[in-house]
Amino acid sequence: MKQRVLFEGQQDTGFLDEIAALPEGERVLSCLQCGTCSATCPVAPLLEEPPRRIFAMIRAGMRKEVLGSLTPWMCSSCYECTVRCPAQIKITEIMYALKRKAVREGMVTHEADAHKFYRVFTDVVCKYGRMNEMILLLRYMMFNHPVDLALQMPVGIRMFSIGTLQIQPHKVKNQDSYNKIVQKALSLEE
Amino acid sequence: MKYLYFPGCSLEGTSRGYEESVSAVFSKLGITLEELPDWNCCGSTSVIAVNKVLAMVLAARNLALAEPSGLQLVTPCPSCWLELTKANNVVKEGGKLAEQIKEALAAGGLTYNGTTTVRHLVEFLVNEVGVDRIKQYVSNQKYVGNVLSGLRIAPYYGCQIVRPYAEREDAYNPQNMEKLIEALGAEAAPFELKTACCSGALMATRKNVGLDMSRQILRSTKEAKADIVVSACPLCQLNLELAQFRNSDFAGKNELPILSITQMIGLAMGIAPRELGLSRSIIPGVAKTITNMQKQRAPAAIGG
Repeated sequence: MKQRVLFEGQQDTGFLDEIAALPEGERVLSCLQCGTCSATCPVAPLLEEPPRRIFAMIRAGMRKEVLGSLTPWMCSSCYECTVRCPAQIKITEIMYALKRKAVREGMVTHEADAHKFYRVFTDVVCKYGRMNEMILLLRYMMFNHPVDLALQMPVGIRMFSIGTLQIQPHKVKNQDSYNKIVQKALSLEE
Repeated sequence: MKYLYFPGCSLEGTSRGYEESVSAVFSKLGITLEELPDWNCCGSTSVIAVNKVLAMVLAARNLALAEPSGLQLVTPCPSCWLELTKANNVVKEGGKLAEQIKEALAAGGLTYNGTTTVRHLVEFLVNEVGVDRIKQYVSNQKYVGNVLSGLRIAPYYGCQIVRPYAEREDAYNPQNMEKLIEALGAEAAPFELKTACCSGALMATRKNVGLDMSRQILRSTKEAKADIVVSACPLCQLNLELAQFRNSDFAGKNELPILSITQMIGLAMGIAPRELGLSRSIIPGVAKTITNMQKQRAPAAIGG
């Protein structure tokens, strides 16, 4: 494990306030460092920075390290930590907020590519109104996991043959109203 | 009674079998589920990782479309249920995000006042349709049993039915699926990981992690000596199937049939496996596997 120490001058003292000011961050100052989040997190054993450590790092002003961490990208949105946290911190929502912040500030670790999956997902939904899993997986995997895509051919063929992968995307009918809603939403700041 | 139905994108794609079984079961029950006209994607766990306002607006558009009818909105997908519920709560609580949602909806000529009720299919089956009503349709339960009588079925809830919202359900030890399983004359197999995570989208973004998480669940159901695993989530069902299809440990005769909740109910009602979309399972021959199990386990029930 990498030992990370930041001296006072290196800490970003505004980072904790920034996270605490988020609508989902209101209770972040109440973190007891009890470790319930890390104990319940199904991916914690695989993480260099399990959720408890992320919260300690937020408090220590480790902006670069937190936003550059793999942890948020490994969150599967199981909400185990959220319902168990004795301080009632909305941990899953904070993980989402860290994902968005990391992308906006260009800090995403090179170890992660889940953000590209989310991006393609969002683009497909904005365009058609509904998800098409075939387009999503092809567009994401072709550029990020080309070898895997080739290895997945047997599954793909099986799913194609049982009719669960479809080429034609389903679209919303009232495209005009839908587009206006999406454009407006994209113009509003969080 | 009439209800609005929100299938969600997966049920038009990777989970078409689930979709077909929902419509077969509800038409047999004589309950009208009318598809919400022109619904859109709920955003799931992906859009919120990119843009929170957009995610909540997408979910709220569906709530707005449902509102004028005054009907309850039922969805078979836990992720849709979660995102629609989240948007509903945001609108009800008010504040900046709620105003932004209303502003974006207004741009497309929609309004939403926060009155739509969203329900997940499992809870809906237990609390609204009622276990007794379902029992009435279970074929010949009293006399010769149905194709599921006596089989051990593992109720796999996964995450998002019970977390973070667990309206009308016990968040820590949910029981709705057990009630349905027992109503069909089958046996609920208790297993440790019934509310653990299947890995969700990690199956796509981190395949090895995803496979491990799904395999752990399969192992836990096997330890519980389950014959069948039942799920009420399109992604859980897909991931558990993929984990078996891709893994030699589970290949061959040891593959566990993974059914959706309505496929299970439909089988016990005597609906043909084809109408329930069982031929759309990634693991081939699911219907036949179940019939064979029945013959082995409960010869008395079949023979009368």
